[in-house]
Amino acid sequence: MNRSRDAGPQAGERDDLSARGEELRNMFSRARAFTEELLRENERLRFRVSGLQREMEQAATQGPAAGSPAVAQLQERVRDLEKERDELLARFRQVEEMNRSVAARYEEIDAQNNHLANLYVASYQLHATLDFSEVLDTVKEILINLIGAEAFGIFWVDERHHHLKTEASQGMGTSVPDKIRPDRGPLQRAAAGESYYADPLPDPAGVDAAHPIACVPLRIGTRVIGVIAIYRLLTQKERFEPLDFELFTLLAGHAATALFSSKLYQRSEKKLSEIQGFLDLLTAPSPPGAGAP
Amino acid sequence: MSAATFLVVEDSPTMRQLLVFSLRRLKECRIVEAVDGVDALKKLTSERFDLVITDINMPMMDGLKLISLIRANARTKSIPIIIVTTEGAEEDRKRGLALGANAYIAKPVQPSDLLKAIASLLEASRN
Repeated sequence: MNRSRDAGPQAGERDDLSARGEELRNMFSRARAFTEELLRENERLRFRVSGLQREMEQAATQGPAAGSPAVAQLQERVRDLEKERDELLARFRQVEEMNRSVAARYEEIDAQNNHLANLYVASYQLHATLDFSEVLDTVKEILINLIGAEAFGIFWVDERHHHLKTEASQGMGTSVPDKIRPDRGPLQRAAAGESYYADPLPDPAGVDAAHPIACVPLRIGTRVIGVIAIYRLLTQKERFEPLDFELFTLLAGHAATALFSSKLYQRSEKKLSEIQGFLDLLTAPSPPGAGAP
Repeated sequence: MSAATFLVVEDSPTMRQLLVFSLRRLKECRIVEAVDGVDALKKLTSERFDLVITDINMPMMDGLKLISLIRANARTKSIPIIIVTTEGAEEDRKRGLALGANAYIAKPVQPSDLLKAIASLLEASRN
């Protein structure tokens, strides 16, 4: 053996190596303890995870524990709320129905109000004057503005000659004669006291005096004094409305009275004026020198 | 709707009374009547109106002439105008609206239609 091998490391070096070995051993031992601790924690967590998975599976399949008081209470509450919701829905439907009914009633009252306004204005205007031509104008205005007639005639019954005398006409051009003999058709029926309304309305192409689309007798009691005949409606008016029939009824009575009384008044005024003239002539003082010779 | 003043221009006394009757359903409104376009212009120069309702066919001055004069005047040009007429053809409607009317109602008039048109025009003019 050579010296160097026999001699080995020096004492300082041995101490140093020993210290480092000790240090490494300590480090490994701490690492081992740490690893063992990690393994234990891992095992504990795996156990916990598998436990939770089991619980979740159980919860998914079974739901909450049936029959527990809390669940029963909640179920009762749900039932109450569902009942309340059903009651509210029923009430809501009832109120909705009531609203619809009120809206329909409102529309009905509004229409009725409109009818009354039309009838009031028409009758007011018919009796607002004793001038025959003004009454005639009012009848024309009612026919045009309130009923929507475009072509019409207003006839007076001449009982002596058995014909209808044209008092006024509108939109008829030259197609309306001064006199019409009502031998047949709607005019004859109207002259006999019967109203006539064409249904459906014919094509408004031409106007034929003998073929009106509506005919209303003007009556005082049972006596027919005149006839209103409508031949065509305004472009925008397609048919007669319920209000129109009410206006026709009003015209049949009120227009007849108004026309007749204004005509009588006109005649009486004329007569009065004639009589007054005659009386004035009789009572006038004689001019000087006009006495008997 | 608060205290609006309306000018109703209509030569037919029956129709005028019916329009006034319908307008009275509106609370707090004042209604002035004119018998034709000339009468309406006189009233327009002496008073301020919130809305004009006019017929077309009238003696002296018709509704269309009246509308063009209202629109030509700086003081009255923004007054809403409603035409109420027997002329119900589409070309008449277009002509009336082209002249400056804001609404066109054909006779016979449903008061509810008239009141709706008035409410909407007054609302628009106030906004």
